[in-house]
Amino acid sequence: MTPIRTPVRTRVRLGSAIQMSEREHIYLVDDAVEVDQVDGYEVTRRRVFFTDIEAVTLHRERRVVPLVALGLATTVGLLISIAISLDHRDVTSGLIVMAFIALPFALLFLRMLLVPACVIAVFGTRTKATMRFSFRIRKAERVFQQICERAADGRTAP
Amino acid sequence: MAAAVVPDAHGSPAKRRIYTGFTCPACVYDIPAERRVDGDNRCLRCGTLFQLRRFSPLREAGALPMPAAGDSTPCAFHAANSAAASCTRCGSFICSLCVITTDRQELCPGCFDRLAKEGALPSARQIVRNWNGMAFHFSFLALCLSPLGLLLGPATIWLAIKGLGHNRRSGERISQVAGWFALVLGVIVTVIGGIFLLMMLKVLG
Repeated sequence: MTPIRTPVRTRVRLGSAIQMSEREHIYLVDDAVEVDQVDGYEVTRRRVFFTDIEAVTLHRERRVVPLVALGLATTVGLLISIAISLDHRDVTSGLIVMAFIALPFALLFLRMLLVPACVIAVFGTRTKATMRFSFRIRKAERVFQQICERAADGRTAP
Repeated sequence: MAAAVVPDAHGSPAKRRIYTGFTCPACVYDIPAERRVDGDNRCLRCGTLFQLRRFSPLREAGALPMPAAGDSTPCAFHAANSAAASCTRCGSFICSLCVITTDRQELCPGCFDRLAKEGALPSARQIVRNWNGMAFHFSFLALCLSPLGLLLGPATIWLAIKGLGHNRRSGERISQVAGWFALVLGVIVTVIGGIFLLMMLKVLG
């Protein structure tokens, strides 16, 4: 009896949720939303099957920790540029340092402050998948629609 | 249903929460069922506005097996039932009660158990090792200790090939870029190690 080679599955990456302590990558497979929870070099996999989905939500969220970290980085960059300006008695060198150190952080800080991240949560009967889109808001809306369509296939909403 | 707190071995509540169903996506507050409506919702506790789409969870109803008629092939496990499929692996005829459809295959229970134990069914696997991630980190260690490149370089290449091979077989892309990066770095470190060894031999010889 010759073992038959397992057909290759298609997995489409939807998004991820990265926190201080854990990383989760979310994929779309034929019959489920697959969650890869990365812990060191071990990937624990769980699935929210489309037939098990209870609800899908989309909301906007501002996370405090990255905002504080970016705010601090911007402040440090500004202080460094001010210190260089005072030390060299020249504004130009301070401005150059500010453009390279403080400005990128300041822009990121403003972007995160003004445009909150999109969070999609898929609630199944046994487990849940969450993904966060900090910059790609349109993609988040597209993914939300895609999951809703796949979950709605072949059944009616309550 | 709210998120319950799991008691630990000593009976005191542990920090880990178990998932028990739909809650507010921001604060895990159990929103009353009558307050859950399709469209825009607001959490009663944290005030987060969220868009909700509800679904009634279904279990796919398995088709009832057809009784074996005179000219139909009977199931290998249930002689009274008519076969609905044949196992992709062993070819046994199986009824709709026995057939397990997974990873684009129709398997009999025995073959499913065997393949799942062997880890040949990606959807039945729950824990996967991230070889590419390991290769990526190992490649930096190898680069720092590049005089030992003839040992550490091949080890990095082996890890990267293992990770990339796993991805190719399973159709996944776990740390794919990291794997390729580690492979290239492994080759570079091996070359550095070789050059270092030649230089040492030249100095000593």
